[in-house]
Amino acid sequence: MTTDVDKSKLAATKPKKKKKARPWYRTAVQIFFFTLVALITLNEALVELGRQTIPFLATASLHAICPFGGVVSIYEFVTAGRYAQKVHSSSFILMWAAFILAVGFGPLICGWVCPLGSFQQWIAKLGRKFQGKKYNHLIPAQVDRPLRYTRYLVLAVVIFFTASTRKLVFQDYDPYFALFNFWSSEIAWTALLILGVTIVASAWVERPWCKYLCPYGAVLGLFNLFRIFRIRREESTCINCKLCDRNCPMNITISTATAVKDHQCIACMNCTSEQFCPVADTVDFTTRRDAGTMPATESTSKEEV
Amino acid sequence: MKAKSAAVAIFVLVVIFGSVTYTSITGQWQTKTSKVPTTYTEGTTTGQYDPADIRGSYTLADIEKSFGIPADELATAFGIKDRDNAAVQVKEMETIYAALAAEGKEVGTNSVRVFVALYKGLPMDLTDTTYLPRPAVEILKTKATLNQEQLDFLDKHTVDIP
Repeated sequence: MTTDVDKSKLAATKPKKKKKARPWYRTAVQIFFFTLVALITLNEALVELGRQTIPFLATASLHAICPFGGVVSIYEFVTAGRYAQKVHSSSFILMWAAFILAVGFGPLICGWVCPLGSFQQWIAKLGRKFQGKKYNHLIPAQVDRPLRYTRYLVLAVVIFFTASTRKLVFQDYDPYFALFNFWSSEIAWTALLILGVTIVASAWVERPWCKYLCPYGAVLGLFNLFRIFRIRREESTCINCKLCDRNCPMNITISTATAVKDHQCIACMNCTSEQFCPVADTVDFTTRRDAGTMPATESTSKEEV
Repeated sequence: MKAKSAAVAIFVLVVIFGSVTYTSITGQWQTKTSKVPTTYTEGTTTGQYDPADIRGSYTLADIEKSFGIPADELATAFGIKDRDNAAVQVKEMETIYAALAAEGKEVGTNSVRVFVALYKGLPMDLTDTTYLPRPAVEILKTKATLNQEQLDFLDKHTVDIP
């Protein structure tokens, strides 16, 4: 019979499991873009105040460096050859750059670049700390799943009203604009309210704005249906630990899929063997050409999420 | 082919900054308006500046330059006093007339567009939510050639300066 003392001895002699070192590239890119956008916005504010600007840094309004401005201007550009209010060619160029990224890897803008997405993710760290495994599993799946399509409704409404008024109607509801311009007189109370709700909700649900309401996320999410590199799981080596599912900020079930096609994937790579998956070469970001090593069932639609 | 996060990070930076650099070199990258409106591309007004492209960041001097309406006259029309009229930005109208916006009567950038279009006899969609201050309406009735529909619009969309 094993005593408590024996157990503690065993535990003491058992080699400690070495914590896997995870790459920091994504975090570095997120911090870089968050800081860059904050500094550019600050520089623009300094210009408006007539103060000394930050050297070697561009001055531009947040609208000018937001690729979604390009998306909402498409109608105006095609019909009249100009952009919507407050939008410039820079937004259009960034929109195309984001599309190039999305064709290759899906919504990298959402998972790697968008400062509002990063901000919500950093709040999520606190949520996870206090709520543990319960975090990000508050809403029942049967309610959550249809709610995820709300962002397409938001997208349709934003495009319709921008096209019919030529105004950047979304600005008054945009938490991203509110986050970097909260001191400005340009900010509508509705945008501040939505930002506040997003911040509070992020303590229970990861990336609530991205999941349910972001119209730009809706656009980029469509690229998940045909992007070149996608998340693929090797069934033969998978140990079914479900760490991939638990660490997906968008609650996608990766552990039963062979290829992820979910419109909500933000290409964060959390689920990959490079990050949280404990088995090498099991969940990877690959092209279909590598599918020779994948199970034959990989192409069946029921196994694609 | 497998992509590691380091490669993805490089791809993100190369595509974004590559696009910005390339379009900066070719002159396509603009983060600010050129202060010159686009021109009409069809109809009898082809080649003329389109008031619908007036932006909130335009100053009254920019409008004077493109449309030939004196900045002082624009300032009078929109009730701007004791200012360097040439430097006043169109978007400031929204602040000056903020109280009216709450009543659904908007005097802002679109009001300036309508004023310029009617003043110059250029085509413009007249929207129901756009209003003009009384001095602007008086200037238009005195100086512009207006049809009955435009006169009716102005009569229904006149506000007093707060």
